[in-house]
Amino acid sequence: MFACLYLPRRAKPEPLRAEGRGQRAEALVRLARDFSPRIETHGDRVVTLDIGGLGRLLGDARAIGEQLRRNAADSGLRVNIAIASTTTAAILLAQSRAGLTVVPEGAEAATLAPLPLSALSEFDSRLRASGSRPKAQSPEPKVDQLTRWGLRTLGDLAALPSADLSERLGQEGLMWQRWARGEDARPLVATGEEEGFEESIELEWPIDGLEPLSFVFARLFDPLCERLEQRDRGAVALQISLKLVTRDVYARSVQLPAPMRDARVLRTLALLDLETHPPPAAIDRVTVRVDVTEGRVLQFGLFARALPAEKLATLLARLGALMGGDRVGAPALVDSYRPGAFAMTDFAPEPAQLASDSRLRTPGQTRPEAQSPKPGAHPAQIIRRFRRPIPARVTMQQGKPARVTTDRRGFSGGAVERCDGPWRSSGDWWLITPWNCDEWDVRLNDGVAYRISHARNDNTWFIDGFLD
Amino acid sequence: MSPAAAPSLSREDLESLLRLRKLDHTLAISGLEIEPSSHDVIRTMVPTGIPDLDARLRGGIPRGQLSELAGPRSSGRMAMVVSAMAGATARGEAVALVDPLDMFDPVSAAASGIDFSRMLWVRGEATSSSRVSLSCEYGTLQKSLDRAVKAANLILQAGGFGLVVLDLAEIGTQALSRLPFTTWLRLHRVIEGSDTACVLIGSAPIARSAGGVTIQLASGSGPQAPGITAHVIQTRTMETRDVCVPLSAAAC
Repeated sequence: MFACLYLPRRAKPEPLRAEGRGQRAEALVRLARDFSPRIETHGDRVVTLDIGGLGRLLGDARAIGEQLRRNAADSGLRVNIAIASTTTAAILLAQSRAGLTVVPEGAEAATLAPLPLSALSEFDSRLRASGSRPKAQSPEPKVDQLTRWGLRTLGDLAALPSADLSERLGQEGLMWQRWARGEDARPLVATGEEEGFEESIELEWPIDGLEPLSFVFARLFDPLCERLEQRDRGAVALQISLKLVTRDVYARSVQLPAPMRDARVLRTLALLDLETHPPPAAIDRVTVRVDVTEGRVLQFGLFARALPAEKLATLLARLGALMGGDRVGAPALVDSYRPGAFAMTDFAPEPAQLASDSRLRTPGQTRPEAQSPKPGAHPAQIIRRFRRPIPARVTMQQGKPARVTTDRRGFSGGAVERCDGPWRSSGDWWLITPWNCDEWDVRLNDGVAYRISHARNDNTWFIDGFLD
Repeated sequence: MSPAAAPSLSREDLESLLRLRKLDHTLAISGLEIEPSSHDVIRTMVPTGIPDLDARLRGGIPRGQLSELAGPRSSGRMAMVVSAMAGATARGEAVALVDPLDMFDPVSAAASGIDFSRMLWVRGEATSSSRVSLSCEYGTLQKSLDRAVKAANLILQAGGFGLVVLDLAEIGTQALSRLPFTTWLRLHRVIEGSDTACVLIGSAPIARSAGGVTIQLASGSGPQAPGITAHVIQTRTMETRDVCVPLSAAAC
């Protein structure tokens, strides 16, 4: 639901708080912000606000409207108020009717029908003046022209066949007709200054260690997350600024995988980051700031095993602190024939879907079953690769490896029973790390199938791994 | 005087109570076995993707249990695990591989159809277990092992994963024996009753929970016609069975 506050031209401003046009406009915006963080201004006389969710606090739409009117009177403003399920209907009614107008959902067109066509002209010029509407591609309809056609009210215009109207007036005519039916041409675009979400604390005694810092973070994040909750915002990045006793400022930034506002999660992520990257000296002042975006709306499935983003972010941060940040993630293939080449990407699985639920899949998306091996297919052999290849000695017979030995413990070596290969590859000759090798798969008499490689440039052999 | 009549539960009541606590797998298998539906199997098991082996395992690797996969090098341990992970990711589940020695090869695993975006890979330091003769290397190996167990514990505690694999295949038995004996019990307690199946890979049996399975693998016959020979042990049903599964050619 949307409400529109309209400041009529003839309204006499109260001398106490609303002196002058600019002050009345500011008072109008303040009044709207007291009720909703999502407001949009159209000039200095009209403000629309999203009142969705206020019902649980104030009651039905009429109760919200009465409360708006009372608060406006307290602020010294006499405003027209209209509440409807579209912003267009709310604005048209607020600029045309005095007092409070509440439109039941679905009755927008019927309520707007008796209004004169001049209301549309005023509405159009208001949107153009405030920059809410781009320049028209076709000439805008004239009220006089519509009047000559015998149209008097918005109901008359709404009842016209859309195709015929489009032929005569183009897209602008259709836009006017949609407005006359109370339909929105675009969603509400929230305006106004974005509130800063920052908390800071000056410490009486310098802190040297993460454990006491945990309590400080708790004091900072609790009110911060409460404000995020009130404004329906989620943190997407965490900026930590620590003023040290050395007068330096130690800054850290933590990117969050999803908008979140759980104080405990944010505190844990901040602590884990500082555990991995500790400040070089004791701390005098702690400042935390979060970059915010709109709150997240989640639809949980009945059967999917969900991994909440907050829990996943904490898990990845803990694993990163334990193993190293670059050693945790999802593997990815790279466009290279270099043996063993791979890359690491962020682990961010999409919400799970049941493979059988095709309704949730977009048309172009590959079916998950298509990626899985076919039923009855034999599993492919996997290589266990030594990231540091083991030097080996290989005896060749008739151009094939006949015996493989190495000095490394744990590898007995032996005669080659079977072998496949060679697979020759080379590349990156234009870089300082080229490769040029022949790879063989050999099964030795100890029962293990090894992947060995022959570096052709320096005639050396390595055990790259074994098949498993 | 007759003894006080104790409230009696019917078998159906007992089964429904156990099902609520996800402990229905503890029910004794009667002589008349009912084939579970495919949905029930997916709910309680993680299929390995190898039909013969899944049939022997009554659906796959049990969820909420600690299972183990043991065998020598080239016995198909990783092939079996990657096959199970590929099936799980195709169903939309997240999987995790804790790899203390950083030996997983994504290029060869890609041939199995695994969806890497749903796979969490935790890599340890690339230290070869064969270099434990040096004391510093041994210390590094033990540290890698400790970190890997902690990482697996964190992943299991977080939940939300269908399959978590801890790869200890190239860790020597000496290093494994230095772990506290309560380590595996603790891991099992974390996942008990959850939807996560945890698998330990080792060169020899390490540990498993009572409801878990042990799959003992033997080497195949050669690189051109390799295969998995699995010896399945299920304590609950007192069954031991052998399965032979051929492997497709290596992806090179």
